[in-house]
Amino acid sequence: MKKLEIKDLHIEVNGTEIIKGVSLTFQSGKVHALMGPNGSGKSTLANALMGHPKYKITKGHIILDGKDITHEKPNIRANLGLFLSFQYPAEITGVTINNFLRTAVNNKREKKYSIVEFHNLLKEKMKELNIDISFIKRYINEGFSGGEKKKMEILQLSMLEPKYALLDETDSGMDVDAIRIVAEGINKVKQNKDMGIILITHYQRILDYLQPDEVSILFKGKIVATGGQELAKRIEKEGFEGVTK
Amino acid sequence: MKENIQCIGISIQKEKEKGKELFKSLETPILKYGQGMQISLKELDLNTVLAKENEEERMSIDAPKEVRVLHPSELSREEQDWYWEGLVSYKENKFLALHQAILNDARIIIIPKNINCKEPIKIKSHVSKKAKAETIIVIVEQNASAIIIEENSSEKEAHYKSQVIQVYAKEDSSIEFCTLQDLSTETYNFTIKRGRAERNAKISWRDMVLGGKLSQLDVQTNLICPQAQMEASSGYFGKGGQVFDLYSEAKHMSSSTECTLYNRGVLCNGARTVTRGKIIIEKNNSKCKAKQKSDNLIIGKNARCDAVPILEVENDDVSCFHGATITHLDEEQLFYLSSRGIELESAKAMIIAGYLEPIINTFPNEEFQEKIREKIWKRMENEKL
Repeated sequence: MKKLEIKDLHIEVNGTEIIKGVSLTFQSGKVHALMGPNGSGKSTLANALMGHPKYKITKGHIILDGKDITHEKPNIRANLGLFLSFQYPAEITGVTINNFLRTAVNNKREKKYSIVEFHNLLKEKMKELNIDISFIKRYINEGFSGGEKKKMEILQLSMLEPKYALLDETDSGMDVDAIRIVAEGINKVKQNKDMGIILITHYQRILDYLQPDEVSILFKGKIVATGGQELAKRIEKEGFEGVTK
Repeated sequence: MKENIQCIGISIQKEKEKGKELFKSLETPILKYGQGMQISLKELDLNTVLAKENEEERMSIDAPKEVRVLHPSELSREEQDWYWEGLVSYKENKFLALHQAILNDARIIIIPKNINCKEPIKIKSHVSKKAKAETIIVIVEQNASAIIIEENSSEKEAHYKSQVIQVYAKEDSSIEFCTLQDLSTETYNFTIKRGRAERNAKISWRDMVLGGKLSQLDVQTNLICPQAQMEASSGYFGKGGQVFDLYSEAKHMSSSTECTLYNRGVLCNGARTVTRGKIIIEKNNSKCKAKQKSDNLIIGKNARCDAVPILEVENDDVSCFHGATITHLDEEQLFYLSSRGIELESAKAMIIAGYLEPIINTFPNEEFQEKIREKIWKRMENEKL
């Protein structure tokens, strides 16, 4: 079975070890929720998996469908099918959503989309996510609200159709309706592409829409509990303290 | 077709003679702006330039039929006196004297009263060799408006290009003078742009400076009546040993006048820029609004930028703003684009090209904007970003 595996991963940021030996397996076509209190290392893990140069992997391996990508550049990881939906996406002046996405999508394809083909595809995906078409001329995330930024991340997800998507607090900063629309968008790509989802979240709400097959709890850089949906529900009731004791 | 310079310009011929005399009498200026900011002229021998006059090439001007394009000799004596040195004195410095001495092309563009030009006036100037000096005078009559799109290019054999542009914007008129300077990096370039805006007139200078070994751009505008406005925005992309010396100035000579001075540029690997902006508000002139800003992106090794804002404000009842930023490529932006599968070098090029978009977008013509983008991408080719 296709999977994204992390084996005994240790990660340092500015000389401090944040992730202290984490091993997890994310299956293709499954939703794996990664939960944990603030400062437990969830975003560090997500950024390191995507290859952010600030996050140094000092030990362990990342294996994507059998290929060791521990030391690959972020663009290679992306082209092999990994995607990160950022908690705080960067704003880039002067680069329009349209040009950026066309470059990114065509980059992955042998047969490139023409301008018209691409425009039609983008228009359709934007409609599904309830994003106004005028956004294609806007610069990446510049002047976007928190919710708009998150929707834009999921638009990219649905355009790039990765094999594994790391969703770093995609539900934060969004209202209930936006969470539903975004979750529907994610589910659609998941079904079409048999995508594996690693969902980083504090809250139960998005898990109502994206039912997790597995739930892991990260605490102080280590996995302290693993279970099914009932684990997320327990956290909702007892808080992380109840689980990490 | 080679034009007969004799018949168009007794005055031009005389100008040249005057210029040569002036040139001999003036010292080469030192481009020193305090605090260790100096632009070296040691590789430029102005006497050599004088001997390299290029008499063959002319600029082309494509204007809508309602616009009048004249040679200087077609102006009346009175008009010549009024406009020829109305905003520029060739005695100002040796570069201007040299301009006058080698002047080989001059045109007057008149946008008649109440004419609103729908199509832009297009000016093209190419220098293939030696040294060339051009003068353009634009007179925008009362309640008229126009857009001028100018493209300057040169071959690497072209040593020197000098340009003097004067714009007279009469009451209720508006003019946008847009220039793409795409000269060879072997060409020295000195450009003077001067404007005079009357009541409720607006002059917008838009420049994209890409070429030139040493390129000096000096844009000054006098706002002489209430509601006169001036906007000067310049973008630049420099690389290698290119040096840009950019100056813009607004002189508020009346109350209730407005100006915006904005420049934004990218400097790669060894490029050097000094940007200076000056706002002058005289004592009796209140309710003026003035803004100036300089944003710079530094790439790679040995690129340097100095941004100098100068405010000479003698009236308290005005609104002034100034600011400058100097930044490097942002690691988070690069990671963001890389995480979408875009190679690092392409990601850098996208961010750099994007950095200049706020200036490109001020150019009024989409086709022209696209041309500027292409030129910027071309200049980034084979460059270590």
